Amino acid sequence: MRSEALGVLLALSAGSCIAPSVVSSSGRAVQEAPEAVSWTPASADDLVGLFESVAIEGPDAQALARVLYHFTLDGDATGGVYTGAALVVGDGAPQFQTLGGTWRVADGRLELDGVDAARVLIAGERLRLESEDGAIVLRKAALH
Amino acid sequence: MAGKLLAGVGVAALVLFGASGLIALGVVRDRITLVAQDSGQSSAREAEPVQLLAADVAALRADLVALSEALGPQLEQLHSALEDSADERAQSQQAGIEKLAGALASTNTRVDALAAAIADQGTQVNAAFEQLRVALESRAEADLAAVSAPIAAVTALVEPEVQPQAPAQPVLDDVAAVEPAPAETAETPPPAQRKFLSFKLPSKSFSFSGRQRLAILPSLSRVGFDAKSTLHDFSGVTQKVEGELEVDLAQPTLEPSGSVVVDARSLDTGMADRDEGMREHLDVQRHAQLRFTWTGLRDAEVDLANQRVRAVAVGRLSIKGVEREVALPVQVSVDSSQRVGIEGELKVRMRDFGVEPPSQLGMIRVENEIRLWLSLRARSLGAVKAEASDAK
Repeated sequence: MRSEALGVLLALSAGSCIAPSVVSSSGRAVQEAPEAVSWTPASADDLVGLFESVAIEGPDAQALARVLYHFTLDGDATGGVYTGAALVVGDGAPQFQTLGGTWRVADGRLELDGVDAARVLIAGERLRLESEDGAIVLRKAALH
Repeated sequence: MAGKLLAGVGVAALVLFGASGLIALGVVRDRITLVAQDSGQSSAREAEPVQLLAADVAALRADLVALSEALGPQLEQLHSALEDSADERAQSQQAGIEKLAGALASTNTRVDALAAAIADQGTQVNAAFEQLRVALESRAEADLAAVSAPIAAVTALVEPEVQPQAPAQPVLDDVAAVEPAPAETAETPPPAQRKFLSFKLPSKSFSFSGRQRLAILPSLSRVGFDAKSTLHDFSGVTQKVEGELEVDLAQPTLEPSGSVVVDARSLDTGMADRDEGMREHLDVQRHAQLRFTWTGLRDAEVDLANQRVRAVAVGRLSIKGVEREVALPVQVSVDSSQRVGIEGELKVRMRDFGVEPPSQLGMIRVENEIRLWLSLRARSLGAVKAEASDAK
């Protein structure tokens, strides 16, 4: 009891030293913007492996709930084959959509099936696929 | 012997006769009036009752005079009182009539003001309708322009001289993603399939109007509270929030519904000891969820052009198993990614929900009133089918 009272007194005396930890009304919303990272153009080697989305931006984002890509590099070192999956919502119940084909990276741009798809950037283990319709930030995932 | 017998009978008869006479005299004695008349003194004796009568009349007259003298002032007083009462009643009635006339005049003024207000409202409603009509026309034009561009693109694609070498299409594994059948007539070309990084997107983009289901995105939502204490103020926050809402954002007062469920165990104030105490006070072992059940909306201000809504969400808030009706002011908006944002806050008293504000030895106390807030983002799951909506 005595130690508890002492603790309370100490807490009271130190009260002025403890900064309030109230979330400001402007800071309540979850900020989508990732931590300040410096994105650089990615090369084909950077895309190899499994990636899962951590943020989807742009007007089409509301239709994509989750996105996964798996890229495999073939012999020419600029591309290979890929498979992708997305959980798409908007027309009734959410549905997974899968696709696959060839990919290629040239001059910092990703081509999917021969069609220019997006600018591809990298920062550490994160990829950013950026097109005029929006952007997806993916992080590298382990393939168990 | 016979002589003695006869003598006895005679004596008895005499005795009986005498007794009968005495009894008869006793019975009729009070009813017998003896009048002795002396014809020589009759005139002198006749004057005596007249004198008595005259005396009686005189006494009666004196009494009447005395009575009249006694009653006179009282009658005058009664008359005066009656006159006063009549005057007062008349004055009261006059005042009532004047008051009624005043009220009538006031009512007339108010009726005139009401009529003017109704006329003004009518003008405003007309203006609002006109504004809405213009907005709808503008939107229709925008939609038409948006549709025209893909049609032009499709038309350009089918032109043989400008059609480039067709690129390889991604292999689509799921049946739902099969290309739609081509249109049979040139007048009704199929809408251009929207794609994003080669995934085919739903045919319908997000629409602010129309009843739709919204699913809360936990990764982009937060719910919390702000509390004041004698030591320092603090917030408790969690992202473990989920739920679905059903609403027509353009007409949000039309039977909105849904719920927001928060995992009370996950509320984090940034201090482990405080979190532990808070969970004990909330009895999270038995009541792991905080829940807001949305039942209605009022005071809605809809800004169609900017896709914003300000309103007061009405519903039931459940904390520690205690449910209370609350009114939660909210602001709804749509972000650049077509997700619906919902912000709101309200003040609640912990004791209203059976939660005793934490206190340490009575010295460090948390105030009873806290501010609950939510910052949600939700994704549209698409329009609610009409029959499903009707069935509700």
